[in-house]
Amino acid sequence: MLEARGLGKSFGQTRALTGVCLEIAEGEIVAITGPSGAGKSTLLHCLAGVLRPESGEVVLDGRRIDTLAEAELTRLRRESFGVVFQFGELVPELTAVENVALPMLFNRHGRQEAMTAAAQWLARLEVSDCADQRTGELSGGQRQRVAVARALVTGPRVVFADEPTGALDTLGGEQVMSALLGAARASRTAVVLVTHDNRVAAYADREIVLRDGAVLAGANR
Amino acid sequence: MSTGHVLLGFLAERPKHGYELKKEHDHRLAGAKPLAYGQVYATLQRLERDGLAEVAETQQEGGPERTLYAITDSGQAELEQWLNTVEPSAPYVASPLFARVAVAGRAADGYLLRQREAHLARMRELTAEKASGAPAQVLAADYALQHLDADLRWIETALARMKEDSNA
Amino acid sequence: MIAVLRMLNRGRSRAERVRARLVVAGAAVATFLVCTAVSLADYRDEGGSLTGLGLALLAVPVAGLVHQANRLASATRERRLAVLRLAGATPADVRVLGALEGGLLALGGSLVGSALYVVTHLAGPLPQVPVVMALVTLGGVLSGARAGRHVVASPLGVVRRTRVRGPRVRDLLLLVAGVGFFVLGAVVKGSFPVVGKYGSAVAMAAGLVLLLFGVTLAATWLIRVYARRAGRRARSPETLLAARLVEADPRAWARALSVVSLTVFFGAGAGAQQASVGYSQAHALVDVALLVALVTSAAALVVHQAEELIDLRRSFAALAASGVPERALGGVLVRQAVIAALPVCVVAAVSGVAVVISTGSDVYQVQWLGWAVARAVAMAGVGVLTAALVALAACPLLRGALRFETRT
Repeated sequence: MLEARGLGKSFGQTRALTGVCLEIAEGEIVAITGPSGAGKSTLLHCLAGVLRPESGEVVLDGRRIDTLAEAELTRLRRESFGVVFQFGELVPELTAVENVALPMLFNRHGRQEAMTAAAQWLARLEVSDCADQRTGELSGGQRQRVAVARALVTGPRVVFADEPTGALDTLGGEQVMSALLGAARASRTAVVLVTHDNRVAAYADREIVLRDGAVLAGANR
Repeated sequence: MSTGHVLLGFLAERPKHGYELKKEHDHRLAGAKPLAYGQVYATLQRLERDGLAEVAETQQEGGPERTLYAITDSGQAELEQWLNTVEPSAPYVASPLFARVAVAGRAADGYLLRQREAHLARMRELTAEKASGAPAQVLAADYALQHLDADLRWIETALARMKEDSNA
Repeated sequence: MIAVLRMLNRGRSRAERVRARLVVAGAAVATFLVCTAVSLADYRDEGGSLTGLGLALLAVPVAGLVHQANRLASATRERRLAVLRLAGATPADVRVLGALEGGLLALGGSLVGSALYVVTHLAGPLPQVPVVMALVTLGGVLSGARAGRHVVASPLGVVRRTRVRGPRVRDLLLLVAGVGFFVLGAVVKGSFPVVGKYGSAVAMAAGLVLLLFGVTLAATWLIRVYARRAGRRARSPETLLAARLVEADPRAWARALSVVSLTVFFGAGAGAQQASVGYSQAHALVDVALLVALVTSAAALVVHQAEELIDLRRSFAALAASGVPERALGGVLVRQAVIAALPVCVVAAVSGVAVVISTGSDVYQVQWLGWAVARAVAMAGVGVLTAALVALAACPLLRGALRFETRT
């Protein structure tokens, strides 16, 4: 469903990615691992349409997305992708339920509908208690589960997660991972995880090992 | 770890017979190798000989003879002492994984990657087990996961060091 | 202590150098304006006094700009001060450092300003120059000492925003006292008993400063109430985001808008007065002064907007990454400005008209109201428009702020 063909990207003199090829199937959970500086985050951002690769192609459902116009690409990200960052990156001034409703509102759903859907997602991830708290006041684990809800609320095809448990302890990370993967498997959403934690990588169906900007193992199923 | 101490621990709750002890062992030490019947009875006889356990009752109701074992006072003391003994922090590194790399040196590169794959595959199984497991199983899986993770992290460091050395 | 200051200055970032230059320039302009204003204040000459008043009005937004500039780059500065605290500096040390820095910058600026005044007014009155210089430097010292107050409280530097307290009677008293002083100075003119012929100028200046603080405090409360309402009723995500962002930090908006609201207040008041006595040349001068004040206050808004963008960068970048178009985020900025400026400008315009009418209610005639209301509406509109335009102008900056930072 999602495919990278010979991706290359560099920042100034440093080559971050060189000829990366990989394939991710529908509903598949994939972990991208490798030492720091291997190009994990750059690869994730290229796949998610946040960065544009200098060479190669990113293909979603047979359609090339890296050459789309900015407005088109933005819409695609909004409708087909969800993103979870290491520190949640929620809007601290909004309440948890408002944060989750935000992507739906930007997809021009009504306020009532968006709020209801957001509340349901918070309940599924067992963070209903903090629905009306500002996210600046939440603990790391709660915040991350709210971020998972925000990524999933629009029913995306792929969720990209960049070190989703990086700021959490073992148990907190475990809760976030099982919440994310439970929900993703139930809705057959593919998940692309970037992590340097092997215990997080063990949640995935497949591991793609990156070394010096190239795929070392696991490019295909 | 001594099986004797574990069985003493189970007997501390109430007198039990051999079959029950085996079931309990396999359930509570979920990740450990299952105990054979022969080993259970051999251990119980040793405990009885040393005065740490005693036969409380012998039942025979239609079926085969069943002996109920109970813990003695000195057994209680022994158990107490064992529970509070600090495990010595491994003075020597003893792992075939480490030995292989030490012998092969830089040539271990390919082996380490295959080992990593095997470890991660096992970690995936354990993670999946955890999702549906009973509390005792989760504890055992956690223990195994963290040890495998420690191996993996060592492998990564070793690979990085080898790369550094070959660059130097 | 001086050695530490010099060490710190060597490692200054570009943003901090910009801030230092802004403070110096602002202090210079303020010194020049106030010196000139005082030289013009003369109870025998109505027109001259009004011109002086206009110039004094100009000094207020400039002072506001300097204070605002002192807050620019406050994030890097606070981090630096926090490191000092962790390295063992006492709260007093940090305060002294800030005061020294602010005071030195203001002193340098006021020297430039006074030199400029003396050169252009060789024949004019000179005794006020050292007084004004001292006042401007003192202002710099106070502003600098306050700049690091988060760090003074805790070495870790409090970044979490505190809850805004409700309005207090004190805020209202400040407002009333400010208006009182100002009117007193304007009405009694030269017969003011203190400091001879400068009495009215001093009273009016004190009134202005009090007003500025009072307006900020009252506006904080007003903005928060309005933003909360707007957030509850918001239908679009842009409005929801804008309202919540304003609600979370109404104080910063009130500070940035204080000069705008004062301009609207005086503009509406002047309009109500013109309706009764007719438009004179002095009125035209006041209008020009108000216009310039508005432009200067727009600069304060720009500084605020830049600060706001730094704050919002992370969460906005995350939103952009998950597919929120840049245009929508620009819309959030503009809506924020409107949500904050609308209540403040409307209240300022209404109270400006009300003050004039109530002080002259015995002679005020109904037919004058049309002109007064039109002026008030126009002033409020100009105020809101200024805020919205500044936000609109900041939209291109958003692109830079949103550029996704990648760690590889």
